[in-house]
Amino acid sequence: MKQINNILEHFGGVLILCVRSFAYLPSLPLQWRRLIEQCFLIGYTTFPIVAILSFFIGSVLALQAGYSLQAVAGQDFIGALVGLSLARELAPVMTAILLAGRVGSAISAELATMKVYQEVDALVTMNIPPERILVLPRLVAILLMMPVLTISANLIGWLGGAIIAQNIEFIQLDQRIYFQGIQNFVKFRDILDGLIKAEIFGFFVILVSCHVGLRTTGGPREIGASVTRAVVISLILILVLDYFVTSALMKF
Amino acid sequence: MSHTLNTARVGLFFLLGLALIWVVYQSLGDGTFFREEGYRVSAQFDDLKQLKPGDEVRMAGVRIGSVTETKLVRGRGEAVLTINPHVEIPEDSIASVAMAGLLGNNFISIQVGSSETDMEEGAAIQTRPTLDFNDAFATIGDITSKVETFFEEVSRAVAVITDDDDGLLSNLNEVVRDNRDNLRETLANLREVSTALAEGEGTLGRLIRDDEAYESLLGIGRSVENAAGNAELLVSDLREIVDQIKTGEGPLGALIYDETTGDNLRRIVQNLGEVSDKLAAGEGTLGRLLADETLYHDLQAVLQKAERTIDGLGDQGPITAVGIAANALF
Amino acid sequence: MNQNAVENGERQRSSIGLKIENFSKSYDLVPVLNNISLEVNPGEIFVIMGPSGSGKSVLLKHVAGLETPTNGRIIIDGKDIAQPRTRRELSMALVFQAGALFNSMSVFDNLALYPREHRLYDRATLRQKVMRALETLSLQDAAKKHPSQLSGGMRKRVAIARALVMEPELILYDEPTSELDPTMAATIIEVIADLREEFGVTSLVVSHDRDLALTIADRVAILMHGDLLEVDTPANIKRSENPKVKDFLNPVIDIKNPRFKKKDYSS
Ligand SMILES: Nc1ncnc2c1ncn2[C@@H]1O[C@H](COP(=O)(O)OP(=O)(O)OP(=O)(O)O)[C@@H](O)[C@H]1O
Ligand SMILES: [Mg+2]
Repeated sequence: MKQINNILEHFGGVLILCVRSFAYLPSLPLQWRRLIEQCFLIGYTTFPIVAILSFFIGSVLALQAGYSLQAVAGQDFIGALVGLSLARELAPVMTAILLAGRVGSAISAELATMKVYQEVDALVTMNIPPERILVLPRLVAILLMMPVLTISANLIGWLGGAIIAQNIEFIQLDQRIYFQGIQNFVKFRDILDGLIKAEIFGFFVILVSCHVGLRTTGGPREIGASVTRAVVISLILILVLDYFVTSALMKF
Repeated sequence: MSHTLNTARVGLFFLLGLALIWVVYQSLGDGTFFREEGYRVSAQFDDLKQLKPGDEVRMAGVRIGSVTETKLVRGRGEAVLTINPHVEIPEDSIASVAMAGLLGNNFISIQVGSSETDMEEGAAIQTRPTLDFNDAFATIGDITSKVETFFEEVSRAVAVITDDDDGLLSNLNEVVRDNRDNLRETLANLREVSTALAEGEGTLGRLIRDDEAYESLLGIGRSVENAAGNAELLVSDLREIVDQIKTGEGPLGALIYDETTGDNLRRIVQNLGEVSDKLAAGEGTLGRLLADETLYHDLQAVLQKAERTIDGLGDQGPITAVGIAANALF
Repeated sequence: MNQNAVENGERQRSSIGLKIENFSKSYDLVPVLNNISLEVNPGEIFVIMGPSGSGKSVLLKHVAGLETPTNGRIIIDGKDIAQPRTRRELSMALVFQAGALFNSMSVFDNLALYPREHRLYDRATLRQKVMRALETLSLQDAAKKHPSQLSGGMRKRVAIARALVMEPELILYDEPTSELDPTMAATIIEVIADLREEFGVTSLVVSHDRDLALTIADRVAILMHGDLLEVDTPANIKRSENPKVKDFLNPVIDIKNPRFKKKDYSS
């Protein structure tokens, strides 16, 4: 009972935070510096790890596909397989998971610290709503940066797959055929679906992290607990949303 | 922190992301990974098969551009080709839709012409009907049935002759009778194979890409058709001959005892039988046929030989009508 | 927004009063403050004294509208602080006991945040106002430093400077002179008095500082274990017959700073 109450409370809190933050959207042009800073922290500094991860995901996909398709001499399909799985599923989900681990945790820690050390209270007494300067720029930043991260993850993953497919002894698939496979089987719609998914995941990861951070009460110990909570909720949310968003997108 | 530097980085990063999305859109939507530079040439076909934007254009096997657009123009399929600017295509070059790989990737193959003038932006290139395996084997099936009809007619005619129970015709009779079973078998095999191939939905890229083989098939088809057209004439001729023989006229002996023609006939029947046996033994699996190089060359040789024989006998006048008929049979 | 500040960049603030009515607060059913009622007049310097843990900081937080009372109302300038509108219409600053500085910003940016967010001044004016507030508290050298690079006393002074830049009509101080040396404490006392003289600023000060209470306070309240024991002028408070008040005030007079410092830290 208390658990259900807790979940509902979180759910409502997240929604209210979202509405309150976007109510301050008109103030965004005045905070463009803050927006740039958040874009930098959320997008730019996350890029290297997204690049490394997606490169290896693409590689391992090609390796597995090559190994499995060897039996039926269907190695021409490696490109299609790697291309589609990255575009439709792995690039958005893995980027979002990285985001939860790297950015979500940082945001919840920062906001929890601000809350615990009364910085948030100070903002309130200054008549500066925390949603306006702490949440809104981050939400807009992730909306801007997530497509960039995801498309990069796609392309770098494809490249990783191409390199493996060409150079591994038992595959040795010509890059041209690999990319032709991608070109023939991956439609822009697949990429677009992936970008939409990533956008939704990224948005919720940041929103939940902000919410959990701002809800923190108590001392330093609660800061740690908040970070854990933010990451766990984000991960669950990504995978649950993944199912629903994917099936919703299939209907359009 | 250096704020302007970060702003620049974020701006660049964002623009890079937009650019990447755009590039992917272009590549997957209607182009290649890198937009083609060059001049455009249009090519009209009755059937574009599975050709689509992004497919390659090749000349002598070298990639020289890509298909940028396909559209319907007055009931015909038109492909707009973007050709690399430094590649020149003689005006009388001929384009055809060809196939590469098992995935069914089509490409435009351009057969280089000899004209001094080159094609310019917006010009239309000559085309040749698309070589399609299905079409080729449909033709073979056609030929087979024609040959069969023809054979029946001849045998009927021969039967008429044999009924006459005349010693003079026994040799011709023998040739035909000796080979009758052989012929029937051959024809049956051929039909079986051609049906199997025709149902194979054009995955036999190998054979069909060989223009020569294709032309041979078409040539034989034409000859047979010709011969079949003459069947009635032949039958009446034979009747005439029989009549003549009955009245003791004509140099039929010369034809009947012509050793060369007889040998030729026998050898061809043998070869063809061998090839068709092999084809039939392949259980209709297309891969097997493709894999067997000897088989492929055998078939080609037979086709060529048959053609040559027909050609050789073609202009020897009405007296060789039986020779033509016999040749066409095999 | 801060209308007065917007209108003519410089000063001219109206004085506002504050009223606490039957205020009670409990945390998880543990009562912290019981049925407090008091009134602070416009332009008054009102000092609340009381032992550590008596609920002074909790009271200030409620006045600032950061928490909701269990019972009772707090009315500032005739408006209930529980209404969300009220804060937007008021010009009020709270100096937190622990400073509550923005750790991610430099001292200058800490001070500049409020005027920047509310678009009060142009760059030059802003800079001039911030620097003047810093100079008032001898902090001009610390402008570029981050809060983590400051001493405890400096942090407290930055917190006060940050409130000054806001140019509020009502300032709530939570122990402004603790952690400070006597000279600096004296400066703070002078600043509080000067704001009242010049701009009619109302001040609600929580402090154990006897000098502060006895020199500039108009009235003093004694808060003990959640109850308001006495509200009177400093002179009357000193003459109080209440044994608890006597007990509380006498040791303060006898034994000086060290004990307060330790208590401040532990609170
Ligand atoms: N959030 C809270 N939850 C539970 N109890 C609290 C909370 N905040 C304060 N208290 C309790 O309320 C009482 C009053 O605390 P407060 O901070 O107001 O003391 P204070 O009078 O400011 O003391 P000091 O002079 O040491 O600063 C304390 O007993 C404290 O434990
Ligand atoms: Mg306190």
